[in-house]
Amino acid sequence: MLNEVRNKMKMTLPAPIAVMLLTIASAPVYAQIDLAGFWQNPVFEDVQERIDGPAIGDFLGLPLNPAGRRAGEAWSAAIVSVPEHQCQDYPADYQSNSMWSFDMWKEVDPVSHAIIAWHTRLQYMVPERTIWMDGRPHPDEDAAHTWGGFSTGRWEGGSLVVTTTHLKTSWLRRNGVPRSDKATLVERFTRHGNYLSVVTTVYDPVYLSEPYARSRDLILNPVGSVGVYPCESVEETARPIGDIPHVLPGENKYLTEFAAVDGVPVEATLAGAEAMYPEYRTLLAAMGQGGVTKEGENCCPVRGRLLCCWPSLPSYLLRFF
Amino acid sequence: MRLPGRARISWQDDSTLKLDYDTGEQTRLFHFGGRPPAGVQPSWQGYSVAEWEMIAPPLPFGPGGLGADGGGPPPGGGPPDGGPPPGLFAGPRPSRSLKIVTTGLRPGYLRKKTVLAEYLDQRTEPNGDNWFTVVTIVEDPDNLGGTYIMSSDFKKEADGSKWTPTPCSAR
Repeated sequence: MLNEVRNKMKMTLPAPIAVMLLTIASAPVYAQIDLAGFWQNPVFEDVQERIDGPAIGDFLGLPLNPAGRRAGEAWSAAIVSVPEHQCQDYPADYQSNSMWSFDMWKEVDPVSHAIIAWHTRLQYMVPERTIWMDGRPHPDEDAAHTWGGFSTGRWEGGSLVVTTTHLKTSWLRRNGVPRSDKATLVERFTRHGNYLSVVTTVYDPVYLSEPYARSRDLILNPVGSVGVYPCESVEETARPIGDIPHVLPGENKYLTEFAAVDGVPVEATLAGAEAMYPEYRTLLAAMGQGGVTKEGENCCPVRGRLLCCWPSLPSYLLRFF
Repeated sequence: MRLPGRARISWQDDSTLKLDYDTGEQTRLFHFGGRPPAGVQPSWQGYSVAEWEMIAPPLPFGPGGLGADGGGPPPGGGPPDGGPPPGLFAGPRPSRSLKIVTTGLRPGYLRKKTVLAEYLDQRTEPNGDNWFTVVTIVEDPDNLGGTYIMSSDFKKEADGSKWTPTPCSAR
């Protein structure tokens, strides 16, 4: 249909009118792919995780493999008080998943007007990312790894697809769920009118059993501004020089607290990818969740609530009940 | 589509896309090429009008320009965009995003003036997995002071073996 309209216009109408009518004929919606602007992060989803911060041991919804889980269990919240970490940037894969908004703008070649790069700047700690659009390759594996990594972009079906490598070892969730420096981040920025969908997928061969995908939605704010974020590290507490807060394997006494308080089976927090899919509900039902009203063979009281202790629960966790 | 579950998408006819959801056994119909007919009775799923988002014609720029596919494929390889070569007279082409506007919703968690705009954004990951993200934008002037926006992600499965229609139940 569109081609017929276009052909007729080519034959009979002056070019300017044809262009105008072609625009009208192809009326519906056009994916807008100018991504420039200040994108407000409304945080309508996962508020507790993104603002308050996730609880220690909250590994729900994450395809963690055993190595990832062990690293998460070894995390100590005291790490954020170490001067070297106090003013740390958010890693690239967490930026759009945080509660913070960001600015996005393009860098244009002054001669060809081709877009050389897209840039983003997050409100928190104000890190600037560069997404190269000029076709340059990613650097050698031994090149520096940074919080923002090295990013290249390309357009695919109306979305800006960004591939990021050379990330420093960091975290997927602010409770120490790890992400290794071997990970690759693939992001898709898709604009729908005044809304921006950002889908991040993390491929981590070290800590994840399968890719981890998250989506966030931002709103264009024409009067928004990143502003400044001054941060100065100080000695918040006395600790030996070189001391790095951590928890040794099997000694994290807070791991089960989240499950108890939120009424979630500990098993589910440790199940990794298995607990991400709908059929896990069937497993939960088989475990006896939902109908547990009294202490029994597989259930025990935890801080005034009943929690089922599954046979497959690691023994080092059972001792905390 | 916010409940844990699986969606099954098929064409009901040439202009109607059907989305079944196993949790709660609900069916949504996305009608292409039109507006809601007059006198539609409010329902839980409302009346949905769908259209593919179009991408503006690529500009004759070099790599990285608007509409151009620059930067090369991601590690592991990804599908090429498959669009026409950039040219001044290249026409618009469908994106991988389906826009759906739903009205005529029965008052429920939100009120009867609710207008639901959704975008189903398809993508193919570098590992070959096919996904879609549904971005849901809710306008409800009776109950909301602004726009409410959220999204959910679905990964395509190899077959329908895990499809588990489950009726809604209250207890």
